[in-house]
Amino acid sequence: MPAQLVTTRLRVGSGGLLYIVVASLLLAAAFLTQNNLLFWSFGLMVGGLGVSIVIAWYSMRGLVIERLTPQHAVAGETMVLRYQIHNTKRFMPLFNLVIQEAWNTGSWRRRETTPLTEARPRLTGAPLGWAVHVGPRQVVQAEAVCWPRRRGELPFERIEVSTTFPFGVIRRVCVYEQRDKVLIYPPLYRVGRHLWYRLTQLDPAGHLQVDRAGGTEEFFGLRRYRPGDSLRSIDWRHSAKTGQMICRELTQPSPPRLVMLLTLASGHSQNETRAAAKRTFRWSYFKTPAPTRPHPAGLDDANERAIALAASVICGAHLQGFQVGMVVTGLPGLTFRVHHSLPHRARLLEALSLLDAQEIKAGAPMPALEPTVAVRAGEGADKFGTGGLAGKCLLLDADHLETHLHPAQTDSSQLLARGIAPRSKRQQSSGGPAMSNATIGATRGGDQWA
Amino acid sequence: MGLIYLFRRLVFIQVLLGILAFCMAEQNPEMLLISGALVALSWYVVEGPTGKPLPQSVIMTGAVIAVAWVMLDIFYFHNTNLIIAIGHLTMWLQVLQLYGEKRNRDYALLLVLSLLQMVGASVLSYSVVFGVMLGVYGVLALGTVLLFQIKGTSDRILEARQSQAPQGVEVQRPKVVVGRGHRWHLRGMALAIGLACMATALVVFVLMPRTSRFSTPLEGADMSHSIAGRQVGFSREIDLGVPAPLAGSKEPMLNLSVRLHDADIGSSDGQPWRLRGAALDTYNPVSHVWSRGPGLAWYDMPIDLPTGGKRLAPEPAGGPVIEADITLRTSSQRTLFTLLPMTWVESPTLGSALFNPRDGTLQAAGATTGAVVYRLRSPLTPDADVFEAYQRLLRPTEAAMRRQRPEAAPPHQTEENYARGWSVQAAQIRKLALDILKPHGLPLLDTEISNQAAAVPEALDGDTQARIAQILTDYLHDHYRYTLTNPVSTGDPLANFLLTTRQGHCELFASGLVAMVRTLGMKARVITGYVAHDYNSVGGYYVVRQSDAHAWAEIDIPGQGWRTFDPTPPAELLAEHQRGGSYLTWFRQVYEHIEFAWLSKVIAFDKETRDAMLDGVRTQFRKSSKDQDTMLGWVAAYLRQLIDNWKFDALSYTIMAVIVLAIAVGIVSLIRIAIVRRRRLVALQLTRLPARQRRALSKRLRFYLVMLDMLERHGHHRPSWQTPAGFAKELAEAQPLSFEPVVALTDHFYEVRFGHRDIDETRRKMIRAHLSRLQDALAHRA
Repeated sequence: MPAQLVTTRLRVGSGGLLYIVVASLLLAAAFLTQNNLLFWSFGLMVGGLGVSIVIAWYSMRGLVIERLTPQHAVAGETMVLRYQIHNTKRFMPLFNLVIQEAWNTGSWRRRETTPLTEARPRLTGAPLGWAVHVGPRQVVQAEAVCWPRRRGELPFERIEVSTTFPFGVIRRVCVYEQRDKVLIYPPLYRVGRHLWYRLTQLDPAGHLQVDRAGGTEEFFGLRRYRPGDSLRSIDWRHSAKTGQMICRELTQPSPPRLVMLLTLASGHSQNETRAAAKRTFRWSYFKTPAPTRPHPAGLDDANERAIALAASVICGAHLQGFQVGMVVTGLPGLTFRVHHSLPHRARLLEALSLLDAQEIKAGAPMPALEPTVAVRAGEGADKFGTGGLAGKCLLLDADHLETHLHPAQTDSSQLLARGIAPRSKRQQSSGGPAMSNATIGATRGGDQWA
Repeated sequence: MGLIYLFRRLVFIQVLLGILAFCMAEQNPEMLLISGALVALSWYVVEGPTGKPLPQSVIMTGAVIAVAWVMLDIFYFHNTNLIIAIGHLTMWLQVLQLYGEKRNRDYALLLVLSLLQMVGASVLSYSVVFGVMLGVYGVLALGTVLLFQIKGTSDRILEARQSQAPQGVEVQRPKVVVGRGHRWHLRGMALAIGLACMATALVVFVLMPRTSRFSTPLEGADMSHSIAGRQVGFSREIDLGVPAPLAGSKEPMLNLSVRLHDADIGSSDGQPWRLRGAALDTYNPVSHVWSRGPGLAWYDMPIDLPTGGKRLAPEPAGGPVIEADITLRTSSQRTLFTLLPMTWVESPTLGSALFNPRDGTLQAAGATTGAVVYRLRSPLTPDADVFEAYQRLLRPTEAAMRRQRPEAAPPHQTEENYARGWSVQAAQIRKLALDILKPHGLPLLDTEISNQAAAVPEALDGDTQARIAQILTDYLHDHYRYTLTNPVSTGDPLANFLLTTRQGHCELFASGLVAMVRTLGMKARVITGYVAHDYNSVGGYYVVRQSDAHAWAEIDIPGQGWRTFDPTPPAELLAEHQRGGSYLTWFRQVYEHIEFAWLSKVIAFDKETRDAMLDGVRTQFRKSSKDQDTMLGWVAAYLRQLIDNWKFDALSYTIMAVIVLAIAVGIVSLIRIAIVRRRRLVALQLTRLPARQRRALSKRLRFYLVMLDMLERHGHHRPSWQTPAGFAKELAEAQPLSFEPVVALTDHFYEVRFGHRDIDETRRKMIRAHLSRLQDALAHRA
């Protein structure tokens, strides 16, 4: 659905003012000296101004633009917005179009809460796109990159298309409205190998998965023949020895399971942020505050770190072939049974993206899922019930995020890849490269925008 | 990125062009050589593959030194004028900037400095070469500004992204997104913008209100100061004590157009015209310098030169009067060149002038800027009445001066003693003159002149004096040799020329004749000016160059007034001044005519020209609308007649308007259909087929163009180099489900185009179905 044109403007910027000043000086010099070449030069400048006005007035007519947003993006990483620009005019091309996202332009009542101006900005800056040329009756796609700062829904409202072609004197601005939302996932990191090793330690035998009968892999055992069994499964040698029909059973792999228990501190995030903002505001009157650069992915408080840790573990586990489930303490409605599929992973990440710590209730009942991994948002989250799980599951503290995750943020496209199916023992025995091969193969599938 | 590299190259060329234009306008080849070499070197030093810019501190230090140097040059040494100083400063700043690291601000500075140079050069020079360079500069500036726009936007987006990107994230320059045919579109747009700017500039240029010319700080700027050595050229003084002059430059100084009874009478083979500039009546025996007498300025009479002209003297009744149009191309001096005698003068470019009735010279009242155009009338044959009229002008001038400055002593150049008498070796020179005259048996010569110590001119009648002057002139023609290589001699150069060496240049010839006739008691003066003989047949005027400067003599003949006598041998003079004819002569004349047109139509365009042009257009339009011989007049008359005959009412007018509108719409539609058909043929690559086959195939294959159009609207363009099969295969491999109809339609295309299949009903239905499916698939994808 193309964006709707809201308003258009003509602006004379600093370049235009400079142009007019130079033209005025030239006119004065021409009158003073009566030099005809200066009159010519002044005429050329007047021509340039006239042409600029005509082109600015006419060129943006018939422009149809549509924003193509991805379904999701990851906080702290590059998000690409695409714009489909259609020049419907028959003859006149468009040049040097700058496309910028705007949230409150054109309105004299400027809102305070936009993704750029709210207390914790969702974006590092307004996305800027650029199309050098759109021919008559042509469609091109321009792209703008931006970097979301924190998880949640990122709203887009208006598209501001401008051009200063040809001389930079007149700036023609057209504002279009197209409302979109992009879901921003929590920051995703590669999970350290030691964490998967620690998961194996939870099982006394050191296995992550248990074989069951009924598959087609390796020998599992013998049993009596039951009607309906395939003739091919009958073990004729044992049947001859025992005189009874004996069937051979093969194994089927049971994928490993990971149940995540996420424990957050209620209201921690918002309160801490507001207090910090107030402190900064107050002290800025008296002294320059220390130049603290906010975390690019919004990991400035414990809850966000915990959510990022949980999301990273979920993505890593999905890649490893785990069936993943999740429970959030204090939010009984936010419970996911173990499952392994891309939609399931997308649901988990979506839930983590939209999770609001304000809604957590301290006395809410816990669902009947036995957690494998518990993530807590620092010491303050203990009262929500992760303290009693020590020894039964893997306890991860968000305050020590760096110990569990890879220190350098990876390209989330690898973590959000399709993942691998539950592996057979034969594949498992072949060692580590199986995962990387699968990851690479999945990345080539390129479904991060799916 | 190609655009940025192209932009850098354009800026570099523009800087070079600005420097070249300014140095040419200033006529400063040394500066051109130095700055041009430094600029050219900067490309290899800074922009090359291993180029490295100089540190900013070095650039800033250099800029400070350049500014200080120019300030000293202007205010302390007083070496140069302001425009030239600013031009030099801009050049040095540009050179320094070129060696430094350049951001967009620096590129903008380079362009502004270059523009300043062009403005300065346009003030200094009026040559058509500079006009051509200005046009080239305009074209270059247009391209540079367009590319600067694109580069600036790219840089702005890159900077914004770099400021937004998290730490450690490397941000790439934004991808250049262009549609198909962007180069042609940009060129076409630039051409349209340039033409629109030119059209607007023309309108502004013509309609811009003008004021009368007045002096500027640029007055008197002699741009030839940098040319070393003394060249042949016009001078208001003659120094006979310096070595012989070098050959003068061939640059045109002025144009002269001569008419008699409104008919052009110029030709290369005829008698050359002498344009007098200064009349020198005083010879200094110590410095050997001829100059205008110090008191002559006392007689300068201001005259207004409005449209309509100023009458200076009555014209002889019935005698032929020539009319001369003179266009001074440069106005470094205030001298206005005239013919002798002058009876009427008019100038659309000069507000006023100073006319001196004593020596008949004319000069601008103030310094002038740009070309000076004036017109004067002069009797073809000498007429004493003109000089009598000059004398009558002198009397009120003298009276007025005495009233204004009663304490001032009158000048010694009175009517009686002006241009009379000789003191340097007068006896020897007089004896030489008498020896020359003796064989001719002039009346009264033996009894009167030869026996008197001081000659009494009144004793001789006018004819005798004229004959004396002519005999002496002929003698100099025949017995003295013209050369520009005469050595410097000791003693008085004029006496040496007459008595010893007997060879010299035109100044010595003129001085020699004046000296001889003055020793005989006659009044004579030396005239400096130009001799016009190079006739431009393309433009119909004489072109006078710096090298055409010449000196001759004027002798006052009783009853005839001042008459011109040129003692320089004419054959040798012609050989010295005449340009050799060659096959390039025509081209040279064309070039000079273009240059003259540039000067007269563009440089000398002013209020009067503008008013005259607008009046002319208005008059021509009215005249054409009334004259039935012209198209416009015929149409106007026909319409008038039609209206009168038919007696249209409102309904008839409406019907007629509808019919005209319908015809116009029909014509436009036909043109449009032709254009569309042509485009269709080009798109289907059928242009080389026979006409009948071409039309049939174009009609049958229209479905393929519909498909391409459909795909194009969704961003899938088939490049011209790609075959239809290749295009269909590429699409089908990318999206098999969506573009399967493309493959089917392409198969139909091949069957019709090369298999000579007809489009029957079945095939038509299939094609429709495929197109419909394709449309659905594309809509679904969007």
